[in-house]
Amino acid sequence: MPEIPPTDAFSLERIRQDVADVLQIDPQELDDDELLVYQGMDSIRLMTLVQRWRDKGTEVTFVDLAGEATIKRWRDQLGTP
Amino acid sequence: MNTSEQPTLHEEFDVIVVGGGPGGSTAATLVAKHGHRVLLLEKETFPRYQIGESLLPATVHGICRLLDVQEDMEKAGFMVKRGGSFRWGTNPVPWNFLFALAPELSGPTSYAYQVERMKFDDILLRNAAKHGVDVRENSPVSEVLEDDERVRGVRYTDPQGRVHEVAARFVIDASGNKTRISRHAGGERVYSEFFKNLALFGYFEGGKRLPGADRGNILCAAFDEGWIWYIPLSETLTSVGAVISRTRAADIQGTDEEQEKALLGFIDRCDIVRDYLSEATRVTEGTYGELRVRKDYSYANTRFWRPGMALVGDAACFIDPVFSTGVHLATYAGLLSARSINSVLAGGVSEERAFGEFEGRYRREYGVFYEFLSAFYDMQGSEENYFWKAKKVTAFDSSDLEAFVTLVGGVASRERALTDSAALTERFASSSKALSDAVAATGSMQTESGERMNHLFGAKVVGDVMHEMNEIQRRGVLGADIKESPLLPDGLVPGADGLSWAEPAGG
Repeated sequence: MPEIPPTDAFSLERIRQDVADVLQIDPQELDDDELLVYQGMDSIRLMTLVQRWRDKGTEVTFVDLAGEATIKRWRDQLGTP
Repeated sequence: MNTSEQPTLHEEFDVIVVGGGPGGSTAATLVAKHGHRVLLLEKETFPRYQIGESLLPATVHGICRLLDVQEDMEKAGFMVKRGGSFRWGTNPVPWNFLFALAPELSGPTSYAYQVERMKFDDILLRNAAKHGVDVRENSPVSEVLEDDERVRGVRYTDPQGRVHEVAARFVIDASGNKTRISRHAGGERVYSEFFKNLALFGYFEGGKRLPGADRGNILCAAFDEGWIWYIPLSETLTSVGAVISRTRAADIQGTDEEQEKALLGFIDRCDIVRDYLSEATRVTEGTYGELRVRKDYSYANTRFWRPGMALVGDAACFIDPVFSTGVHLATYAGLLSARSINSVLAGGVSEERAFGEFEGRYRREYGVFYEFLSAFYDMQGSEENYFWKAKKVTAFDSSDLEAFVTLVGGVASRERALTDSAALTERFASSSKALSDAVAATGSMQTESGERMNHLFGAKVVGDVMHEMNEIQRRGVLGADIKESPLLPDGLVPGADGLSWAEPAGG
């Protein structure tokens, strides 16, 4: 496996993995298009994700992510080039 | 332990906490959880009356979980609040500040409680004893033992009138706004001209409730001379208080009859509260039968600690009650002080660094609420009355603002150094504009938009006040599983169990 370059910190796979981590489920159980609130996401876990992603250098906020919370939309918002 | 008639005059503990309110109980319990010997001295005998009845979720889901007192809280059956409802600003209909961002994101932590402080404070104090804190009530502290280097203990009188001297590595002053020992921390209390209000309050049976899911909310309603809090403590009991200018002091400090006349007069001028109390009767017997007056002056001490001593809760600072911040600021400071003490006693962090973090975070929290509340009051300021005119940000006295800069300094803002009162006025005015735009976009309570807090939570001044509260809640719910970034430049982060400080990883 080649080392993941920093721009890939917000690839679809990494986002899915981070989401699965906070929900404590397998990434394969996640549906990229379904609203995450129906897949176990709540505000506390969302705060954890915001913190984790801000530590990686994005300026995203809790309110940005909460708007229409799906993995696909988050990928676009987190701005993978 | 002492069975003879002779009192034990000299004792030693790791930590002495003066005051058994929520701030003191929190500090004592969280230090005892790390195995240290803690003595808590309370001058009254609990349960006792106290004001400040509306809690925020960070206290309920963060602090209470760290204290292992969730179960007692649930059993107490307190009124559940899902937020605050405000008849405030230009909208004639109340609008909501809800703890849940949106209905579908309303989770298990999106609520708090209205509490009878007699019950809540008693739960926390008994819980401290359960965690091994030596709790002694009816034991007023008369003196602080100190030398040039540090504070070394206290002298107190026990219920039998015997005087005790107790030595300790740390003394926490959590003895409230009437503290007699806070000056031993080496500073003085500085008042804010802007928030020098008085509160006149009492209790009513049979008041109406807000509709539907909002029935447990606190209602804060502005009227020409101030504002009224309306807190549902049970299905039938309501706490009602008028916050007014200190220039009205003479009118509210007379006989019982005069006080009642004054309170009913304020209620009569506040449409929504008048309607809600139209079929209610004032409680006139027992603990809730008294009408009380309190100075709701906002203040902060110039120093929050010195070697061997720290100030927690109203002994350190107080801010206007409109946003239910009293218990939050006190228990937050209780948590911060426990982290600092646990770190120093474990030997990992110097006292200077550990308490620098305590003071820095505490001042930041005070500062962000000060800015938020300034913006909040500014929003209502279209009224012609003196009370509201004096609360326009543009009416801020420059010496008051400079005092604020001294008290919270650059800590309140990480982006911009706050150096002069003109810059501060400009900033507070822009916070006020952003807040009132967000309130306008949110709209009236119980509408489609009024259930969604994205505009309000998106306002920077709201984000700032939510930051630490969210972290505490996250910590309470997820336990050791969370990682926090430093809050302050070159600052520390909470250790794994959240009860001590650690250097940030890779820092």
